[in-house]
Amino acid sequence: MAVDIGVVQEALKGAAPILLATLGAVIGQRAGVLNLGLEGVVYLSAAVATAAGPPWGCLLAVAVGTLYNLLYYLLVNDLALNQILMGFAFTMMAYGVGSQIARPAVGKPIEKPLVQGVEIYLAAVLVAAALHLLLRTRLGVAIKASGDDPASLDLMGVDVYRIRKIAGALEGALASSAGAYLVLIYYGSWSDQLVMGWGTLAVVTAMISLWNPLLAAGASIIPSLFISLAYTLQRLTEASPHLLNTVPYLASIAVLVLAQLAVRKTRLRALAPRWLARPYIREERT
Amino acid sequence: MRLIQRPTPSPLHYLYAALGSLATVTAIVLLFTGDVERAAAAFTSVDINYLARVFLVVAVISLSGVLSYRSGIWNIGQEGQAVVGALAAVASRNALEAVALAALFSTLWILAPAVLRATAEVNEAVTTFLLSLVAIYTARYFIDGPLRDPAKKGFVVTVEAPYLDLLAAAVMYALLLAGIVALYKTRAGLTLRLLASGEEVVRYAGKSPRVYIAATLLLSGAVAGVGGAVEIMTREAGRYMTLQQVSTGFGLFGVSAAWLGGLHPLGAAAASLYIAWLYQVATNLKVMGLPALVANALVGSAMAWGLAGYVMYKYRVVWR
Repeated sequence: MAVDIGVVQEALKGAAPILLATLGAVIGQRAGVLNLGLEGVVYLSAAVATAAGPPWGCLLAVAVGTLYNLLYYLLVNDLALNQILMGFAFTMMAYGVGSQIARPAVGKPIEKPLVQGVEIYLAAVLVAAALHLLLRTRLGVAIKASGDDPASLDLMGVDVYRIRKIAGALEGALASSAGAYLVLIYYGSWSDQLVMGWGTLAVVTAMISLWNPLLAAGASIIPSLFISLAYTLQRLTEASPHLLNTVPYLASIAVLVLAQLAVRKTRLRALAPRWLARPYIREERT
Repeated sequence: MRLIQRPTPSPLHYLYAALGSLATVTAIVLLFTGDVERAAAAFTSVDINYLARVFLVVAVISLSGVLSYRSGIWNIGQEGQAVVGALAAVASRNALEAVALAALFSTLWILAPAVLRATAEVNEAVTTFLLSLVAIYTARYFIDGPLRDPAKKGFVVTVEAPYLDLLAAAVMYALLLAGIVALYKTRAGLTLRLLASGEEVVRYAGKSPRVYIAATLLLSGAVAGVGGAVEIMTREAGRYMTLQQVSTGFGLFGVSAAWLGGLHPLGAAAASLYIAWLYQVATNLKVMGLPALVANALVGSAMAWGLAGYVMYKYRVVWR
């Protein structure tokens, strides 16, 4: 039983960064942008936080991550470059640059932070509630409309490009705080493989949560639970740690499929942003 | 900054994109070397065998991208499929078996995303990307377990993959290229390309979009797997995998070449040569003691320019 509680506590701690990045992905995908570069934002900000160290590393990581995400939005939104492939390229570039930035910190512990318990997850849930409220404001409605029907939003006189960039800034800030959290609070050290997959899992969790910030608070526990379970099983069983490391990704795909099949023939299907991964080009408005 | 659709698109814009990429590469190399003489040395020193090897690997994987993206299907897991192909090659006894097994296992690897996309509309970009990470951990399991070479005591490496000489690899690539060009001349190939215009269009053409979506992904996965096998088998030495070096990055290079080549099989071949040269430049810089991230930065910028070429081909950028 003690083990079970430990797994749940670990899962809640690990769910905080996934929730933060998921909330970023919810905002971005709601605005119609499928950002696979989120993995890169998490990685790069984690590397910056490592290199600068606490407490300024956190602020610097958020600033760099937000700017990096905004650059992605400028390219895919204003210049209509392919969202999926640019996201992929941004991730690869962030891996290269990030691993170089944080190279001197490999193997060195990072100063212990003040907060490191499950209260972090509760704080992240509060952020989720705040975002849920944001999506009900005028700005939030505009963000949702830019992912559902940008042409109509444009006809109403709202600048779709600007709205998407605001969403991109919010997404970048949330994802990069997830990256800073991962190294400064969750792991307390850096290695090149540390962040591998956390940002991508958040992209999946946003879909599983049907793009709802409050549901995201629950959905973010799923990958985190499997990550914690993999660590626990590594300690308790003879199973290969390499194979156990695949479990969170495979479980996330399985849950995504189940969620998609469950909502397929219901009205919930309409929640999916209709313009997800499609660029909006004003001159092609019909 | 706004985009206006061009009434008469010209393929020349891909050439402009290539020139833009060249200018960016020059700027990056000058930035890293900080001196024109060293930059010139990085650009001009070329090992033909090395260049040919990288070209063949990138060119094969680029065909996987061409197949997928021309059909509007987003397989971005080429890296993982190449890893699976390389693993299959390591487990083989001879080159022919290695290529066949690489194609078979990478097809099986992409089977789940293909079925999920075709039947449940699960986003294939997300599933193929996640499976790339799974492929890396799976490969580490095989390196540390079933495929570990017991003779290399103290080192965790696999047994060696069979050798494939460059001429044989070139013939194989030429056959693949010819096969894909020929495929696009058939009705099935036309339907594959129609898929990019929407599933409805394929349905109106009297075909099942599901079958063509699945076929696109399976073919694309198989080709990427062969690329991975070619990568490991054409090495002069060290045809094994280690725990640290599972992912080679050639998946990204292949995807970049596909876009820089305008998603045309022959264009992708030309772009692959350019990317192979970029890789050579990055290697030269590494030899000079400059950071290893340069290869990713150079190829990443080439990919951005490839995508920009596609946009420039269709649109004019205006400031307003």
